[in-house]
Amino acid sequence: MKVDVQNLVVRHGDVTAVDDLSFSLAENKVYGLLGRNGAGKSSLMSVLAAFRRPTSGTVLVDGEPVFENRRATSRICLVQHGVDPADKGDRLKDALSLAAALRENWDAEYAERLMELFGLPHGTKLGQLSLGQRSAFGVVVGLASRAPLTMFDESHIGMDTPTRYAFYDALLSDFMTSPRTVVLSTHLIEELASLLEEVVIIDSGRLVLHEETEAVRSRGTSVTGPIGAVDRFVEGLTVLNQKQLGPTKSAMVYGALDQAHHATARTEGLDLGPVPLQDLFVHLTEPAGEPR
Amino acid sequence: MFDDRSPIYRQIADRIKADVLSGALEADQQVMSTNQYAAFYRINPATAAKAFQQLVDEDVLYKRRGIGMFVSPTARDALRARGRETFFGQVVDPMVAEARSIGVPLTDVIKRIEQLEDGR
Amino acid sequence: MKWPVARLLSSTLLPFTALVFAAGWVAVLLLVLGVSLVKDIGVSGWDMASAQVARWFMFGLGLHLARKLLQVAVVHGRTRREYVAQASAFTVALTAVAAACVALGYVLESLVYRAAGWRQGLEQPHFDSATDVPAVFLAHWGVFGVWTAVGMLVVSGFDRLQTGGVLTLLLGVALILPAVVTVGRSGSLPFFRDLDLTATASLPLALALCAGSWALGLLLTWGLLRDVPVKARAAV
Repeated sequence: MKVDVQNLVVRHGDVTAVDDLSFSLAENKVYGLLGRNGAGKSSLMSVLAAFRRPTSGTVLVDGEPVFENRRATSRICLVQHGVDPADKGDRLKDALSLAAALRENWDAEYAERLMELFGLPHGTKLGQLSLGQRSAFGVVVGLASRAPLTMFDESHIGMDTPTRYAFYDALLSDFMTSPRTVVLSTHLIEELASLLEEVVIIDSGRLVLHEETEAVRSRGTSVTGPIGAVDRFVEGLTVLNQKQLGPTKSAMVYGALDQAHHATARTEGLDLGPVPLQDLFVHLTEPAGEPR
Repeated sequence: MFDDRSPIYRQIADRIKADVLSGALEADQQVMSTNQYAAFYRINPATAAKAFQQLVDEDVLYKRRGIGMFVSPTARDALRARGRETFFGQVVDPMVAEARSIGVPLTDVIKRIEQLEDGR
Repeated sequence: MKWPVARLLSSTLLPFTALVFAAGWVAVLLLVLGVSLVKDIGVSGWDMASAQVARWFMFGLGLHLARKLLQVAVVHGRTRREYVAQASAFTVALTAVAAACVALGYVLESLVYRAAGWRQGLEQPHFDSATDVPAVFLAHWGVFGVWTAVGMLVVSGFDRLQTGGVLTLLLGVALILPAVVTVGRSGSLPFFRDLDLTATASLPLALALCAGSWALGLLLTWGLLRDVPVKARAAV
């Protein structure tokens, strides 16, 4: 499902959660939505899923506005903590029948397989699940919705590592057999990075970047060597961060390096290395006023 | 599973090339599908597809529509030739530089190489 | 499938409502049996209960309809318009079932009272006999409709306007008053216990008032819910 966001603004009272945001998502890709706490990720997803009306700006899916538009909303699913898919007093099996009754593309058989995969008890009430189980049940609801646009907002919270891996594997194998547009918001960037085809990074409600994950990753380089040599090397480059240890300096630069840079590095004895996506993210979303 | 040295797709491509060179993958043998690679390494299938595309561009693999990817008959020889071209630059030169910096005389290095050659 | 929300509500809330009324009826009977040990029974227990408790129960169902279930429907890709329209239509069926339960309760009670030799005294202006099923049904249907709609309105008001919801509470009272005081006893309302216009209003007029309040309540509810956000409660 294609998503077009134009000049989107979302305000909660005095707080501007999303501030003039524009971007597009293509059909059938897995996106990572990254941002610090309070960056506006959840508000953005709420609007994409028509959970709330945008303050201004437009959100189109497949060319149609989403808010109060059944053709659009029936094809969108957002799984978010604090927004329950059923009453807290409902047993999981009842919560599943609720989803089956309301969701047009609900895949009950797949839901059952996922319940088994995550070891979720049918007879337990939604409100009695542990945090990790609640997350897992959210994943069941999201995947079995078979919605062409499925969004998971921090759906890994409380899951232990084996459960998270089961989630990633289930998501991936389902994505390959029946592709859809998936948006994952997460703090576990390194763990998820290889699953994401593209990343959208937002900060203070604004777009920082939207690119292929591999491209972002290849754009960060750490330069390590004698202080003077490193300083000369990084001149004219975007330096995200620098650290010093005795006579050695390490700088994190952002941007493609050309042949000349590589040649200089060789002759000056500088070490060029990769930067983990997580570190790039941290520095790209550094609050203004702090070292960039 | 992957280090951060180079993009994942390049690492996958390198691994397949290594398998071709070692003979683990033979000429005209089918390689695993993009999806199998993606599931195995827990990566986005688009990334795996990129690795395969790179290998097709380099004539290491060829595509048979509707069936899958196969190792080019010429892949092994081509990779060997390419490996020979870069061998001195990428393997020997750094080794010599390392030997110098830690004080291993080059004559010792040559002696070692001759020993290995005789031992075969 | 057509009308998924209404179907869902019917399959869950109708049996639930019937069950609650059945349980209520048994409870009332046990209470009456208890009292009968001490003194003679001269009034209908069911008459007292259905005038008081049943309305508040319908009010509670209204709260439930407009709040939790709306959220759940939106989460599962339904629109507010779709939900409120079908839930509003559903109040007709819901209150009809409830009114039928009440009417059935009167009939069953009359059998028990006759067997026990008690007098089934009623305090109702629009029907004199517990077995006047059409009148019992209609009077309760109208009143239940108003209470359910007002329940929906009030919870939507607090949901949408926070403390401003107090306004909808006042509005709710305004909607309930004309309907209730013309149909039956206002005893279930605080402050208006003695207000009784049943003598001046015929059943058809009273029912028309009920229908008006009911429709107005639903309309105002829609006004409040049409763009209500689905909010995450203190996440995690």
